[in-house]
Formats: sequence, C-alpha cells, structure tokens
Amino acid sequence: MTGLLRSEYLKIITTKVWWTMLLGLLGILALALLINGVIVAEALDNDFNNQSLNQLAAGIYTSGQYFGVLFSAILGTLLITNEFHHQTATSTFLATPRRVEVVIAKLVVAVGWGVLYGLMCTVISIPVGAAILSSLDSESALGEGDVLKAILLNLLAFGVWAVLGLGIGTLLQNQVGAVVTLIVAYFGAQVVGAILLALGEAWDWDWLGGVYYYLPYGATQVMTSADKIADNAPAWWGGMLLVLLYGAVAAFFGSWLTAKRDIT
Amino acid sequence: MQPGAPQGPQSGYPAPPQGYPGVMHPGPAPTHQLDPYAQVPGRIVVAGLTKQFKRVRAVDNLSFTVEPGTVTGFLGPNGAGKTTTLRMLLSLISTTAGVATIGGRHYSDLGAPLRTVGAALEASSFHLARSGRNHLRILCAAAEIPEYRVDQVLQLVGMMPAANRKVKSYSMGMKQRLGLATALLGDPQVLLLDEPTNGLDPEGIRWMRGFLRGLAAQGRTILVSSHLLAEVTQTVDDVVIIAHGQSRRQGKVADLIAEAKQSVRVNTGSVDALLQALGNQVTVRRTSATELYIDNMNSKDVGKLAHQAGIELDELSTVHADLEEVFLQYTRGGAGIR
Repeated sequence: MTGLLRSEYLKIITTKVWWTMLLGLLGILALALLINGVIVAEALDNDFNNQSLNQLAAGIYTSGQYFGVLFSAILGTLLITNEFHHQTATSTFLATPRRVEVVIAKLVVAVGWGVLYGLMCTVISIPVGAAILSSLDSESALGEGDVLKAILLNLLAFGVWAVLGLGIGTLLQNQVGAVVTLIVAYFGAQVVGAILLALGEAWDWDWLGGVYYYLPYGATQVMTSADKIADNAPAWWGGMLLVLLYGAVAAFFGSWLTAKRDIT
Repeated sequence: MQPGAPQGPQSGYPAPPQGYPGVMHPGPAPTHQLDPYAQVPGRIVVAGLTKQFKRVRAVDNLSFTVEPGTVTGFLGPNGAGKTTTLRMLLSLISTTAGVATIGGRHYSDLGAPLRTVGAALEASSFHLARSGRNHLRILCAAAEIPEYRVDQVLQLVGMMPAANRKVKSYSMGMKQRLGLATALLGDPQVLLLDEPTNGLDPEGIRWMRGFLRGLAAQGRTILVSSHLLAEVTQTVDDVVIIAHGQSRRQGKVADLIAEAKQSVRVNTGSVDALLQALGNQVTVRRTSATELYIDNMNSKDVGKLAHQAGIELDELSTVHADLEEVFLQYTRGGAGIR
C-alpha cells in the first residue's frame, strides 16, 4: 500500500495542476479574508448582528472555505478522471489489478491533499484573522473551544470534499464533464437552498428552509460553525455525520464502479 | 485466388480449435485440451474466450495457446478483436465467457503482475504533461519495483536523451519505445505487445523488429499483435489469425509462408519456342510479348529445359505470391467496421 500511496502522490506532483490550484486558492483566500474582515467590522459596529464573537471569529479563521472545499473536490475529481482522460488507467490497473486498492490509495492521497489545502488556508487565516480582530479592539477568541472545534472541523471538510470530488469523478469519468458538473452542482445547490429557505419562510414551513443544511455544503457549514447555525439546522455533530456519510457513499460508489468497469 | 485456397470453414484446412468444454458452443471436440489453470510458467492459454459488447460480439469463442519461450504473431484485420482479447488476458475488461490465463492464473490473481507479464497496449496512454521518466517512476512505485529499473529500461529502448521531456513532445516512435520500456519495467518472462510497429516510419519498424528479435532470443514468451502478416513473419514462430473475433488459422509461420504459391518468371525473345519446349506439363500465363509466368516447375528445371532447347533467356526468376494475399484469404470479410 505504501508503494501505491507513493505512486498516487507522484501522479500529483509530476504535473502542475496542484500548484496552479494552490496559487488560485491563495488569491481567493486573500479576497475572502478581506470580505470577512469587512463583515466582522460591520458586525462589531452593529452590536454583533445577533451573532456571538465566537461565531464571527470562527468565520474569519475558516476563510477560504467556500471556494477551498470546491478546489479540494476538483483535485479529487482530477485524480481519477486524469486516468481516463489520458488513458493512464490502463497502466495503472496493469501495475495494480486489484482496483479497489488503487481507489483506496487515491482516496487517502486526495484526503491528505485536501487537508493540506485546508491547512494552508488555516495557517494564513489565523494570524491575519487575529490581527483583524485586534485592530477592531476585539478579543481573538482563539482560546474558545467552539472556535477551535470549528477550525479543526474545517480541515476535515477539506478532506471529505476531496472524497466527494473523487466520487463524482468515478461516476462521470469524463474530465471536463465531471469538473463542470461539480461546479454547477456546488453553486446550484446554494441557489436551490436559498430558494427553499425563502419559500420555507414565506409558507412558514420550517423543515423546507432546513433542507439546505442537509445538502453537502450546508452540512459543511453546520459542522464548521462555532454556534448552531439556525433553528432548523442539525447540531454540529449532525452536520459532521452527514458530511462523512456523503463522503462514504461517494467512496463506496467510486470503488464499486471502478472495480467492475471495463478499461478500454 | 489460387486453387485450394481456404474459403471458409469448409475448406480443406484443419479447422481451428473450437470450443472449450462447458463453454458456449459445445461444437466439435477441441484439438487441444490444455487445462487453462495448469501452472506452467510463461504459458498463455485462451480457452473459449468470448466478449459481447452491447451490440458487437468482439471476441467469439476464441481458443489458442502460446507455449513458454515462443513468439506468436496475433494477426487479424483492424477490428477483428485482437485488442479486446489482449485486454481480457490482462483483466482490464471482463469476459462474457471462457477463460484467459497466464502461467495458469488470471492476470488479476498474479502476485506481482509487472514482474510476470509486461504489456504495451496503446502508444497514446501517457499523461501528455508528464515526462517519460516520471511515467515510469509512478509505475515503479505502484508495482514496488526498484527505481533503478527506470534508467535501465530507458537505456534499453534508447530513450535516455528524451527521458525528462514531456510526452507531448514525443514522436509516435518515441511513444512506442516508452510503451516498450513500460512493458519491460518488471523484467517479465511474458510480453504482450499490441501493434508495436503501428505508426512507425521504416527506420522505426526496422528498429522494433530487431528489438523484438533480441527479446525473443532471451527466451521470453511474446504475443505480438499486428494487422500485417509480413510485418511479423521475420520475428514470430507461430501465428494465430483471427477475423470477426473468431480463429481462422493457427500454426507455424513457416507453413503459412509455404502456402504462398511460387511461380517462375521468364523473359525471352523466343517465347513460342520456350512454350513448345515446356509442353503441357505446366501452367503458363503469358503477360506480354516476351514475358511468361510458369507454375508447377522450379526455375532450375526451366533453365535446364531452355538450355537444352537452345533458347536464350533474358530473365529467369522465382516469384513468391504476396504473403499478404494468403493472409487476406483467411481474413476476407472479417475486416473493419462492425
């Protein structure tokens, strides 16, 4: 298995996708920190906007998450669709005919890489976020358990989203198709969630508005918030279980499909 | 078409081995009944192998054996099912029926597959943005082969100078060489090569032939596919010819060459005198005022006859019918797009 892990690791570092995505992520992180800084400043001016300091602090320390988990998912997708796009699946499965082992190695490396992306965002967000808070004459809240929990679970989110991406990649195989589907589904789900939220409020159907928090990114937000995100949302651990469940389903289908598919 | 040429299953030629006990068509008794699971290192056994894609039966009850240490040409027109057969042998695609084993095992059950079997399938299956060396390093890691093998195989196929360049800059010939290097990475006893000369220029073809001969001389079992018979006759001992996914002819390549009919070409100013001297015992075709083709008599006898009759010959030579013609007779109607 160590050989397989090394093989998958080499596949990533021998092309330039990983660092071009890393550079893109850095740019987005800078933008996210700026926006979150403005939001926090505005909230502090307006009596916290009904949010706790913990919640605001967790928001700024997990900056970059919105696009970051998507990048993580795209990397996971590329890890498998590359094999079909460049027909390297043939040599990969000749070297390791027990295909599930290949998928497991890909999953491990994808999670590792996703967490690394998350870690990179975190080590930048924490000092910058703390500096922003102190410049606004606020506490950093870095010692708070709920804030630390949100920061750690944010790393988990990056890892699990890589697994979701890999699952979609095995399902669709077509590289461009899988990446486009991923992006459309990701933002599409936000739109659908927002519509359901609005409808739920308009019709006074609490459960309808809550549907969004059970979708993959909604559950990710639930998991990485310091406080309960909304009345009709599950608790943080419920969000975590959901996210892990989505990941497990993606991993299972990915392995199953890859194992039975003809490599032509 | 020559008399007696095979026209189909009803011709006088021995029927190809058909059927494997218990699989698909019971048919006539198989001419060889090797146990596909007998653990003979380096032996390839294909028995009753069938692959039904959605609408196309790509491989249809195919059986053949490649004995250890022999080189077998796996021939058939494009679309005959060669690649599908090789991919089933390598557990890359599932079988509809029948078995395909290497050394008595399914490829997917081999402990260290790259050390047992090396395969070069398509010359295009590389990541274009990756260097040839990195492609090999990745496979070394996956197959737990020491990384010094990378430089060894690169040297072997003459790809050292281009090793660090991206595959996208490679010519077809270089990709074929990299494919060979990939196959040789684990120094395997068995090699499966799918059209290794495809897309090569004449110099590349010559190099590849020489290289394959070298590998064969080392006693490796080689199954090499091609859609050109002449391409492999210098390299292989045996041939398996398929068309429409079915076996059409199996045997020694020497027998196949012998089937290509010979005639004697003569050029002379005195055609009529020569015709008279030859009499009725031969079949003669007159192709011009001075040229004759003579069947069923060798050039030596024709020369002797002419000498005795005092006829001056401007040309006396033996002409082989095109080997491809023989090949075509077996595969006719089995070509191409299905």
